[in-house]
Amino acid sequence: MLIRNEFDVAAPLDKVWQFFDDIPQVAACLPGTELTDDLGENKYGGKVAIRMGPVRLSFAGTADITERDETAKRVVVHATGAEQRGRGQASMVVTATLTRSGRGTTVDVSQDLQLSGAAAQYGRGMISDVTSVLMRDFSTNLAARIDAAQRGEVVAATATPAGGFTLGLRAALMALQRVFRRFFLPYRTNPS
Amino acid sequence: MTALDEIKIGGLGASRRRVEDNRFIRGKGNYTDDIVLPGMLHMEILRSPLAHARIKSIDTSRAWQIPGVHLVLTGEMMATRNLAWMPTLSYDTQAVLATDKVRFQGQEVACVIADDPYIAKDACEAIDVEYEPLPVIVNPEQALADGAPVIRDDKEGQDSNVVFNWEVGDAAGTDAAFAKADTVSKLRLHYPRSHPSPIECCGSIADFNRATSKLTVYMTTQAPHIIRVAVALVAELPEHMIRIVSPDIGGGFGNKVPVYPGYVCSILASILLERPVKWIEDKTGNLISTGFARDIYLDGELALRKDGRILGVRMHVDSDHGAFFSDAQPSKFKIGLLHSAFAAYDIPVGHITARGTYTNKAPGGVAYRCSFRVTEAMFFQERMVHAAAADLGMDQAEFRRINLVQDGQFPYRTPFGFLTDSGQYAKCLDVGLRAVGYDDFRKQQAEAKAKGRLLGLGISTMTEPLGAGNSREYDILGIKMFDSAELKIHMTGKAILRTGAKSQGQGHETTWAQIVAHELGLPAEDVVVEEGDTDTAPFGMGTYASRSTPVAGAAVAMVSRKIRAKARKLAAHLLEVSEEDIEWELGRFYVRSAPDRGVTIQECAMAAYSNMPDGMEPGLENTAYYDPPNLTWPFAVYIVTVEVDPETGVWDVLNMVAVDDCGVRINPMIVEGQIMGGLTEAYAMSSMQFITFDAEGNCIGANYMDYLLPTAWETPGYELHSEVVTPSPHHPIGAKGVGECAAVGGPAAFVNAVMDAIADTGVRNVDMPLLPDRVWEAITKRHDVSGAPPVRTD
Repeated sequence: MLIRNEFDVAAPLDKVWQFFDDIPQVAACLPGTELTDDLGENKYGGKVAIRMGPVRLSFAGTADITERDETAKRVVVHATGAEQRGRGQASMVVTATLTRSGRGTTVDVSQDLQLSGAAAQYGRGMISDVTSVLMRDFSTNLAARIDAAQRGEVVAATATPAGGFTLGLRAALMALQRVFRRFFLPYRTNPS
Repeated sequence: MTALDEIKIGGLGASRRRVEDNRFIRGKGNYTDDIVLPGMLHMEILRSPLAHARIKSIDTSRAWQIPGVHLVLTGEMMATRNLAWMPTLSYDTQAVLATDKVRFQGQEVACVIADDPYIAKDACEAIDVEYEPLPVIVNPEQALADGAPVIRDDKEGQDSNVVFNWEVGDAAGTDAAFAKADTVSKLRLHYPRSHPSPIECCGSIADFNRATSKLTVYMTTQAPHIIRVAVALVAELPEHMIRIVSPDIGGGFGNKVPVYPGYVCSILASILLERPVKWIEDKTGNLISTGFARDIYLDGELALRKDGRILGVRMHVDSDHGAFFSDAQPSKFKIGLLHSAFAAYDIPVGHITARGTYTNKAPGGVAYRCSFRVTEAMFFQERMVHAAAADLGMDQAEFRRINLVQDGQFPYRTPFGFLTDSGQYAKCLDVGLRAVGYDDFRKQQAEAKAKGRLLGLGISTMTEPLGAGNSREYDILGIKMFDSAELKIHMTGKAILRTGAKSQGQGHETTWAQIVAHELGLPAEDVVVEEGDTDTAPFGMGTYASRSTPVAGAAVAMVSRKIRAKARKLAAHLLEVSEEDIEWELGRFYVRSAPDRGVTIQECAMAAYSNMPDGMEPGLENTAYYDPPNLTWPFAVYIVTVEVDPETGVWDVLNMVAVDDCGVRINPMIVEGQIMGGLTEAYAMSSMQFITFDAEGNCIGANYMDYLLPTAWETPGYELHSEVVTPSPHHPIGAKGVGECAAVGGPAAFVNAVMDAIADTGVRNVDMPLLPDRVWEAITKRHDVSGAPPVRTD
């Protein structure tokens, strides 16, 4: 499952690039994420917890910075984790690419997510909706944190929990939008 | 004295109310999960979240520490008892609990036995399994690709993912027929995987008693005696110390034929713990791990003459068997009865090649309400016939009429070696066309088209082989596919009948008594029917493949006739005449020369225990084993009319007509219920129901949110016709079996109707289920739409 987001930050390229050096800050942008260990050599241990209605998933694993290209301003993080009660595995490659746009910076984030197990079985389409909501939050939080850092504010490196009513509601809204899109937007073949 | 009214006593042809419903509608059924034994423990299974992965380690220490846990079983422990693997019904092996690798999502990895199911489930979550993911294969194309990982690396000499290559027919003759053809009509399609999905999931309660050495297993099985043999062979227990009880079953549809790891684990756990162990599967477990159906790809060709005659048929199929070849089918043919395709058509020559492949999907290949791939055979046949008629520009009904086997041709030998027994195909077709108003509809269709509306009509005409089967070609573990009935007439003329079949909703308790009533004149209500307990029922092969009426039902008639033969001797003794002077009418023997002098069957029963002639063995009971000389061949015509919304791809059924010639109907009401049920499943398969997989091998369709069952709201109405009756020439009462016909022949009628409605697009095929987005894609993009996995999830 490939999810792409693009957003602009009103900060110069170098500042934003610096932000991406601080992995705990980046991780804090993903709701429900907690970094537990710095394993050295650009590797971190952590957890991601997602709760939606009766569904509670808690993944534990590692995030590994596999590429840091100074010239191309691209960072690639490979995260893998197993659900802590054996209900599945998740693996995600996040690629963030920064480009200068005017006085600010455009951040292009692509997330390639693979889910297995019960986590992938909670209703066709539902997981991808939930994931999309989470990834949008990630982008929004990222933008906000970079802005805050830019303004010199100190933001704690802990994420807000992901879950509860809003996540479910927004995922449901997304499912509805998907239905309506079929009628009004160009058709995508073989939908999930 | 006048003879009994057969309908009044609930005999042949009576629409007698189902006696089993009395307890079902009162909530008094007795299902496996209703059974509670003293000291019973509960088992839960830990399933693999990954479709293909090497198991690096399994750590059960946390699970053992949870209070209330009695046993944690892993593949390693099973291996020490030689039970990590078990044989399948298709002469392959299947993992009971995984040792080396997991090969499909949902595969059984470990199980926990605890005081209650909640503790067992919690303990499963406390088992830490470390997996190393491997590349995943979800279709035959991937399985056959160069460099594809070998899924069955456990098997010596298995260096590819091919399970088998098999062929039948005359390759050279078929090539010659195609060389003479004016037109060759080609069709490629995929019959998607589906799941029988009985409402009751699988389960078992194993109860091993050390004091008596007896193992009793209550379980959801359609074939208890086969399970007894399998347990004796696999677990190496003496067969007389094994009792399998199949209580009420909440639907089977083929899903409850195989032996599943859960059964084996509960049995071993009970032996180890010396306490009863209950395992009840949850819905997701049932959908992702137990016997699926279909999942087969067709490349079909028909050689056609321009006058409409079919000269030859050629088919190649690739079948996806999942991780283990465990097709539950007893024939000697690798791909079941797929070569029963085109049995209804007079085609001189044909050739079929079949290739089976392993994939990282659940094993099973059960016959979901069909006789071992007959559903696929008839679907391929009717879709190819539809495409061929369209290619020739011929009328769909006329094309069929030209090619169907004629009444005078029976018994008819098909190009693939089957012998169809009887039928009146043209008459059935006429009844169907008249009922649907064929000519009128074609006019309406043309008028609607002028207004931009899409109407369509689909026909499916088919015969299918039922009642596996004759012992030359069918066996399970070497046991011939006969069946049995044991009838005991008590002194007061009441009776108990036991058979080797096992009802899962078919209504045996009602219909078997009707056969006895027909043969002996005992009121049906005086006959109690019991099945499913191997300690009491005569040895039989169970219920599937519509074999109950053709095989066990025949045994019921035969045992009744044995009883009648003895009753005749008793009647002669009571009437003080010689046996030759005795005549029979329903329920009564009388003296030929003095019809007023007679005795009832009940009086004979009394005499069997109180006044038998000198030298006669007392009692009135007997057993019959019936080995059918041939399969029975019912015929059916299903015609569907639909309207497709060109804007949305949504389609509605306007009318559905079903003409079933299933021979003599024992209970017409139950037959109609069977047909309506089958049509509903056909509608489900064609419109909404499928189980698919994404590229990672995740099963999409693992719950009822995704795997859709039609409710009364979606289900269309049906018009059923029973005017045509061609008795089976070799069945004792002329019955043919009917349970599957509608589910087998129905799907093609729905799909053909939608394809007919969108014929102008030039699209040859849309894979089932015909979801609106697929139909819409076909209409707007004007190309065939495949539904083959992997499905995209983004």
